[in-house]
This record gives sequence, C-alpha cells and structure tokens, in this order.
Amino acid sequence: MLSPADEAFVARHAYVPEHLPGYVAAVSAGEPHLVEGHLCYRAGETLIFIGYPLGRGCEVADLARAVSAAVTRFRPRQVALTAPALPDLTPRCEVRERDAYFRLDLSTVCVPAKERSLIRRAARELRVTQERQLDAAHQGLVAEFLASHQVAGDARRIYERIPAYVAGAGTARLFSARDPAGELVAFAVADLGGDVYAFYQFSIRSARRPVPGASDLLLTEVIAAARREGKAYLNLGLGVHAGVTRFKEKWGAEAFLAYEYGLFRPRRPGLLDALLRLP
Amino acid sequence: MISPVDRGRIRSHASIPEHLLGLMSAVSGGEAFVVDDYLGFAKDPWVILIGYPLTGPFGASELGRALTESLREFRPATLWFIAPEVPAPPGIRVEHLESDRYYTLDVEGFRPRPSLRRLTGRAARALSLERGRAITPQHEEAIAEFLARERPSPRIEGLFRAMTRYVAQAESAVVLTARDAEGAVSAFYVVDLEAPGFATYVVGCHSKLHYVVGASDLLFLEMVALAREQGKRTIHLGLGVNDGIRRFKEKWGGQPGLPYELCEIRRQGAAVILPLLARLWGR
Repeated sequence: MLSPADEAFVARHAYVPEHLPGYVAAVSAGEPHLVEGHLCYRAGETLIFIGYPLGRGCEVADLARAVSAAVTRFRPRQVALTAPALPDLTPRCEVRERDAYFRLDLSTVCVPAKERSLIRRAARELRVTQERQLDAAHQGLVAEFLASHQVAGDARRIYERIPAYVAGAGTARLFSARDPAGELVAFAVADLGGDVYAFYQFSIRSARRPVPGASDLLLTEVIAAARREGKAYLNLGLGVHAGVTRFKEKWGAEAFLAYEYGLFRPRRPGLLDALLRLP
Repeated sequence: MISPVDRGRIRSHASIPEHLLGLMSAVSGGEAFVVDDYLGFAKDPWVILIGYPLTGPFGASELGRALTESLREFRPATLWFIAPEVPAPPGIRVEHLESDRYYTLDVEGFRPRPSLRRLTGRAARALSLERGRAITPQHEEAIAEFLARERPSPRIEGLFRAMTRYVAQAESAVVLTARDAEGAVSAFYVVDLEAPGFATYVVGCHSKLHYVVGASDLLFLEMVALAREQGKRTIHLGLGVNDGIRRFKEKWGGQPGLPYELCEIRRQGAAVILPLLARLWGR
C-alpha cells in the first residue's frame, strides 16, 4: 500500500501511465507498492514491476537491485517488467515487446496546420464537455468498439474496467464529444495525476456516427486542460503501430523514452524441485 | 480416482519419484488420475501432469495429447508438468520454467571415499541411529527450528509441514533419525520405498541446537544400507537444483541422469495486462 506521502511522491515524479496507481490498480486489481524508488503492483502471484524510477535517472544496476528487493519481499511466481532496457536478471527474461513512449511538450505544441480546418469544422458540429462518469452512451460506444475491433481477453477486461477507473480515480478526466442532437460520437479519457505530466489514456469514436476531426478535437481539449492545470508534458503512451505513431507525430510528439517488456519467473525451487531437494 | 488396477500398474512401473502415489498425493494434496500413459494430480484450480510415461517410451506428441486432454477435463488455471523434453503441442502456450537433471545413486556400485568414511565414523560415535515410521514431536521441533533458521520459500515450508501427514499415511515411508547422546534429534531423513526398483530420498533436516558434524552424511550411509536391504538397485536423490546441492550429491556418488524440464501452462493473468497499459489508445 502507498502512504499519502508515497502517493504525493509518485504524483510529483510520474512520467509514464504505469505511474498512475489509480489507473493500474483499477484495471489490474494490483496493489501498489514503492520499492527503492520504483513503483510495482502485487496482483496475486504476479508482480507487475515498473522499471522507470521515480525522482532519479534510469540505471540498469539500480533497476536490477530494486527488482531483486521486490522479489525477495513479495516472492511472486512471476514478474512482469517494463523498463527502458531490461536488466540481465535471468536468461529467461527475454524482451517480448519493444516500443517507445511519445510525449507532447505543452509549452510548444500547436495544432498541426493541416488539421486546423478539420478541427474547426468538428468544433462547429460537436460540443465537448468534461464529465465525471461514463454513462450508458459511453459504455455503448465501448461495446461497439470492442465488437468492431475484435478486442478480446485481457485488453477487453481493461476496457470493461474503464468506468470503475474513471469513477474511482480522482485525477481521471472524461472528455465527451456530442452532436447537436446530444448523441455521443467520441470520448477520450485523460489523467492529470502527475504534477509535471498529464496522460492521454485513450479515445474511442463511433464508427456508426463518424465525425471527421473528432479525435483531434478531443486532443486539443485535453491539451488545453493539461495546460490549465500547469502540466509541462502530455504523455501519449506507446507508438503501438505505424498508424497510431503517425497520428502522434503529426501533432509533434517525440519518442522520448524507450520501452521494453519482459516476463520472468524468479529462480527458486518449485513444488517438484522442493520435493526432491536435499538440505 | 485411481482404480486398484491402475494403482498396481503405477507402482510396478514407477521410474521417477513423481510416480509415487502416496508421496505425491500427500504433498500436493491433489487427487491422482491417469490419462493415457501419464499420471497426474488435480486439485482445483491446478493440475500437475507427470510427463514421463509409465510404460511406453517418451513421445512429445503423445504428451501433447495428454496435456490437451487434461486441460479439457479439468480446465485448471495452471497446469504444471515435467517431462524429459519440452513439447510444443499445437494451440497451447507452454512456458518453460526450469531445466535440470535427476540425480541417482547406484546402490551396487556405492563406494564412499575414505574421507567420508572417517567423517561418518566420527559422527557414528556421537550419534545413535534409528528407523521409524512416524514424525514425532521431536522431529517437528527440528523442522520448526530448521524453518525458522533457513526461512525457505512457502512451498518448501509446505513440503516439510506435509511430512507428518505423509509419513502417517504412506506405509512405504521410513524416517531415519540420528540422535545425540541426550536422545535429541540431531538430523533426520525421510525415505520412500514404494517403488520396487528404487528408493527415494524425500527430505532431510538437521538441527543446529543439537548439531553433530557429519550427522547428515551418516544418515546418507544409513539410507544406502536401507535401500540395499530392501533390494533397491538405485536411490533417487532428486534434482541438481544448485551447485551446493549438486556437490553434496556428487560427493556421495550421485550421477546426473534423466533430463528434467519443468513447464507451465496458465490461463492469462495479471502479467499480460502490463504491456497493454500504455497502448490502449489507437487500437
């Protein structure tokens, strides 16, 4: 568990979405802990370890030491780890994914020239409001999105927990875009939980009622809200794939931080090894 | 449930310690089952499948079919299996956890080094040996002391705590105890004699409060003597595990043999959520 002082420390230094305990705890059911300046989440027998240190620079040796300390403390069966570069903890901790985080510098970002007229048209057609909770219309859009994109398994469960995340995390902001008839055509969720960083978590738009420029309009609203609250950067998450990366780069986002993901099991005798172990 | 016919077949064909029904049932708490030529143990929400066939030669595709059948039958959250090699059954994601080798001792060829003879000779003068059929409160005290001192993982602790129940239930279990001059338990071994062809070292524990140098080594000699009296050709010493344990086994003539691959099949859990956390946007 995090103490109020820990929570303040995390918020002060947060720079990746996994530094948002309200978000990660809501979608993973993990309990947040701070270990040697790193945030980790204990979820059953799994330890989710965020290898991006808070309040200091990334050092592979520090990370390896912190992971070892967390493993000693929590004795997980498996560790899921993200870091700029995975430490050489075990031969079995292979890099499973590589990507990079993208961010917008809020002191310099401006609407891309090519998109200005598109966004102006969207702004004339849509009204964007900030709300506190997802309602049935939002959940309908989520259901439509999950069906049309064939989202399954754990990704689906994350989306299904978004209402609980938005309702429970005081720092989450819901931006809804509605047409003149009041129909919801798109929405975005951002988190303003970092002192320096805001986080653009995701956006969903209606395929049934598409409005060109709706996603860009929502992003301009999030940028404005983040600036109002004094944030320096907006973290846009990972590149994911070429299409998403293009969207982020179109807005002037830079890949500012490397990302590696791996999964390993700490070396310790298992049930069958234990059975056969000599003292 | 295991039929009496299967029980007899398993006993007569057991080739590794995990084929010992009494030991595995007591320690795992699972119920034994047989699928094709493979023994398994199930207890919601997990299954352990022993991927060394009881009678025929090992085949990765045959093991794959047994794994598929076990997953379909029990729908476990986690299925652990051991096998001489890692199979790749179609449509199943197998996580390879550990590689090791079984260590065995050839009873007939057992010739301890003179230095070990001297060590155990000194220990024998300070200790008395007994063979018993129960974990007594004195053994439990030694276990409690051992656990408090070594602070092993919860699974190893669970293994030791299961010994009282296992020894009480399994007629094939023997407790070899070394007592000091005051009669206190200095060290003890638990050995299983269920399989016709081999004896199995199950656990060993020594006390620091009633410590006598060479007590564990003296028990090793006694274990070999017991196995020989019972007509066993080999003693299963378990896995290499780490350098220290390997050295102990090799010191006494243990030889690496069958490959051992520990694998896991899991339903997806919290770990796979992590890479999704920063990539929802734009899916």
